[in-house]
Amino acid sequence: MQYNTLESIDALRAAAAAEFQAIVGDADAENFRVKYLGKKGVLREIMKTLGNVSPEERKTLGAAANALREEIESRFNDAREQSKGDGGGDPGFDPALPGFPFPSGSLHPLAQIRNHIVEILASMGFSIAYGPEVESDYNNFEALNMPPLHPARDMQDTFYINEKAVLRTHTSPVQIRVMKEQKPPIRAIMPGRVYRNEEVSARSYCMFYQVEGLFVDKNVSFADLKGTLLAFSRRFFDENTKIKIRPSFFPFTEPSVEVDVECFLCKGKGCGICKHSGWLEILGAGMVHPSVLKSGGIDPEIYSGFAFGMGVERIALLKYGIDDIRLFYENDVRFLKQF
Amino acid sequence: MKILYSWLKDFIDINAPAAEVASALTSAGIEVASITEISIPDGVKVARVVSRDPHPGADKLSLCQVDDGSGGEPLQIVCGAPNVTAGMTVALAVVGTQIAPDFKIGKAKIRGVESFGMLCSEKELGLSDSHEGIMPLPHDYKIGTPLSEYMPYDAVIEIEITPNRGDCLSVLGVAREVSARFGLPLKDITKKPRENADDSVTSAISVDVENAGRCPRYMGRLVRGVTVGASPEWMQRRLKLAGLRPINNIVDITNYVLIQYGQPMHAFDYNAIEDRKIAIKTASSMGAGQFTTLDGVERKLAGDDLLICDGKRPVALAGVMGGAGSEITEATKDVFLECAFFEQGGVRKTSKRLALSTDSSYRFERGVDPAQGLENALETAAALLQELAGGSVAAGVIDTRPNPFADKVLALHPSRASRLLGLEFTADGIIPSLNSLGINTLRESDDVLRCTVPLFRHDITEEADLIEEVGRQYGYDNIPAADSARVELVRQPSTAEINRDMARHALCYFGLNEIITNSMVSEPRRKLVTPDAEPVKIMNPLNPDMAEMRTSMAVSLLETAAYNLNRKNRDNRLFEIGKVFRPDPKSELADERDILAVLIEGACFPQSWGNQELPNDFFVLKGILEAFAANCALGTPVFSRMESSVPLYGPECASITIKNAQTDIRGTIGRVSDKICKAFGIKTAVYYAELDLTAWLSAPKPLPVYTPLPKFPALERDYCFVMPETLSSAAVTKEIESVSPLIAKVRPFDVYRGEKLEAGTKSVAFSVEFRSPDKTLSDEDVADACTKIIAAMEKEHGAVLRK
Repeated sequence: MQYNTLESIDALRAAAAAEFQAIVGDADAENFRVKYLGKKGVLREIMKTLGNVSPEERKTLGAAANALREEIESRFNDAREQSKGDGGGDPGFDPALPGFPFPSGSLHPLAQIRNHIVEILASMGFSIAYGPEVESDYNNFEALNMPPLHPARDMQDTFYINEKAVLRTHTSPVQIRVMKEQKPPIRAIMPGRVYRNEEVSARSYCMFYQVEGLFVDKNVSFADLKGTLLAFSRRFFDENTKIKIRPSFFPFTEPSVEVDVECFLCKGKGCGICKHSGWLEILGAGMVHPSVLKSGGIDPEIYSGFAFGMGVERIALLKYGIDDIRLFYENDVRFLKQF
Repeated sequence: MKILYSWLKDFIDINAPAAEVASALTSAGIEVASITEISIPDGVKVARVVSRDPHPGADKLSLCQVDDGSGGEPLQIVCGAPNVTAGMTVALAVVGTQIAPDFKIGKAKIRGVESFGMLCSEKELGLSDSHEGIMPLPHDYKIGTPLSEYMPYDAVIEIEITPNRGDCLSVLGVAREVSARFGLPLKDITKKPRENADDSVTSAISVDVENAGRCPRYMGRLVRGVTVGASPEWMQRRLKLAGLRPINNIVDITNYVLIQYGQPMHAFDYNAIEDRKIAIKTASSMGAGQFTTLDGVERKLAGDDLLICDGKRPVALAGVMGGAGSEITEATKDVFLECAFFEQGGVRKTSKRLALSTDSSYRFERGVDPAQGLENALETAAALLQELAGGSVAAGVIDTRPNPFADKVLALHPSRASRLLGLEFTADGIIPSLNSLGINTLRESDDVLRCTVPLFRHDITEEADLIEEVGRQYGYDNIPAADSARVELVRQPSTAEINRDMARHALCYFGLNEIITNSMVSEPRRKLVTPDAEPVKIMNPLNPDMAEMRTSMAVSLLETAAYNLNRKNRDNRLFEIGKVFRPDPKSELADERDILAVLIEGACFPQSWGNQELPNDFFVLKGILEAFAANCALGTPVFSRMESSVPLYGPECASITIKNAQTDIRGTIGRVSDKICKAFGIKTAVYYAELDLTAWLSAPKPLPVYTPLPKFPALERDYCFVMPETLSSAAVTKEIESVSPLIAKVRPFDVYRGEKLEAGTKSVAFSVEFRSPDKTLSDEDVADACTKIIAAMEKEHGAVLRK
């Protein structure tokens, strides 16, 4: 082939581009390089044949041939640079193979629910207080308006450590500790582990978590309690959640109420989770009993307050749709890794 | 407690259906557990069995001819119940009766014999769970009458009464609440006996109360000449539906009154009362050490148990249970009825100590009505004995103290109710709602109401209790929620929450699974892990596996690892931040510590297509702790050999000390001993570590100390020394570091033991990094230090540079 016209150089460009695209693997690439860019390659050969044309044509054709050579060289080198890091591209590369077996950790579902509750209440202005799990009988019962022979003690089967100490049956004794340490206004939540001497079953365990709340100030009213619990329920469940309040009894609050929250799953229509009532029993609450304020060294003539409490397990069971409370304490990692 | 709708109707003319009554009770604070409606289906009628013959084709079936009162031929009915006899009056469901939503009686052929209906059991009619044969009906029921005429619609409402509302443990008490809710008047249904003027209770028996504090009021009546027998069907029916077993007319009457008024009563066989004397005194005063209750159990008495005694011996455990020997028998002729108010605490103490809770003790513990209620119960019981057992009631009543308690008068300030409930309440609004509960009000001023509280309301003792009644009557759902619960935006963030979460998240990111375990453990397991620790013991454990509070987290983590391994969950990596307990010598409480425990087992990285398995070992766990400590700014942990052996670990273990600005954190780490693994049923190598985070949790995170980055590159030199086996790498590192201020870092990177070395020696390779803040170091700059390192190692530690 004689390359003595611009057309013939363009034809060479097209041929080179086609061959370049067809390159598969190192051997092809080498053949291509030798053919076009090698010392005896086509483009070198062109220069030698230019002697037969006029000086003007030689100039034009020479420039065109040089440009083509640079073009091919640069494309070839770019492609070679690129393919170098990837070892030329492995057709057997399989991204579906497992990644390096780093273990995946998990946080316990109960701790997650507990923290969710605590975070919401903390953002509402409640600070966090703790108390011991081995608690005095006085703080656990007497200071909370449950003297030794009070039948309300039957509501909570108790583990005794000695005559004067028990495994706390609720987080309410922390109320007494907080009131003794702080002056009103008091806004505190008290998360913690509590114990009940009850047979273990799918529905109850001898140990569980509560989160207790306490608010003491001048003129704190039942309407404040309702407002707080409504705000909490809406943050925790759904912004349109409704609550319903029934009278109840706790020795340490007067009045005492049970707060039912509209079922988050069926939105009050009735489903398996809420036993077709549309409501979930979630919270116990009430206005702090004057005797309890007095036990905490606070004058009930000046101050009033509300308290509320909820069980973390119960909420976790409902929220996750788990039917056996023991799963939380058996810690089967196949269970834990789901949360 | 089970309350009969029809019984409520004795007290109130209410037409609202049972479900509506139940929801009113719920909003009054009386939780309704269930409602069971009793409704005899149309088509069930009274019938009589004319004859009963064996079924020709089945041993267990019988062939009955039944007269359904229609005047026609008897109906042939196949029946499976063994108790059917000729002449029996029964409930017959005729063909076409819809006995249940999914069960309609049809003409049937049973084993080849045609059957035209069904004889019903109590269960089939929804009257009880009793499936024991066909229900016999009284013979005075007229054949052919629809059974619903004798057994009209009714409902059993099962309620749960909170311990403060002892006054609601009766039909009357529930009726009071219903009356207040619906604004309907409460009827007085007390019955009065006709007294026999020729007989006098006071001359027939004397009653002496030794301690009026324990027995503020004791009433009694004498009924002579009773005939002990079955109580009438209507009474048995009510008792059964209320959950009590009918016994005989005398006992049934006292039980009936118990359910109706909530007043426990006891019927004594008058002729068994020695010396015709009743004395109420303590066991110590009586000199009684034990007592046999009427269930035949001999019970050991405590000195302050209250007893009802006759002239010679105790006859009842006051308020709890009567005694064997004075109870009603078939032969009883004369009955002494006891109706008393026993002090709550005393009854509870005895009942708790003896673990003997009865319908009677349950109500006395919660307080009965010491006034009108006591009188109404006694009068009604005496009248019923007269009516149903043919007794003659002696004139007069024993009554030790007609007015044992003063009127309970409390002041209520409407302004205070408004403040506490968060809604404006006026005297005019409050008065009618309190009156409907039987609380009388006297308006002293617009803001002071003098309230006289009925003595049966033991739960109302102060103003707050009255405010609760106001709120309850108004309805809590009707009190609007405050728009803005008063919230304070300034708050102290909780250091403990922040630190705990930081630690938990760090460990989670290192691939560990958080667990939450029971803090109660068994004594043998505690002894295995911490044999010398004094535990906090539980006096009344649920079972021996939970007899003590844990002294180490190791028991909990090992149990969890074993649980998972038993379920073929491999390569476990677990952690928990939990509490351990020791007795606190300074108080009756415990010393509680927050401990981080970590357990790893199996592989750190299991084998995969691109890597070999990397098994977990001591140094993997150490690495986790080091990374964790750095991540959470705990400080740098120092691991040292234990001074003495620790039962939990085998020989491969160390103590951990982390010093930081606020506090020292201490802990241990090691491979759990084979013996302990075996005891927990674990066959793999388990590595465990714990750190006491108690002080750290409440310490704020320190501000990181910034060091400018080096300006000049470092120079590295590697050394390999042959040294005694016992020489610790920490000692070598320290030695080399002290040689020159140019030495920035010393890091052991290889350890070799083997045949090429003398016994008792090892070869350790160290990488030493030299760095100057002023210039790039040359070989000459460090030549001197290099010589010194080799010399110092040889001189101080007998370590020789390996060629």
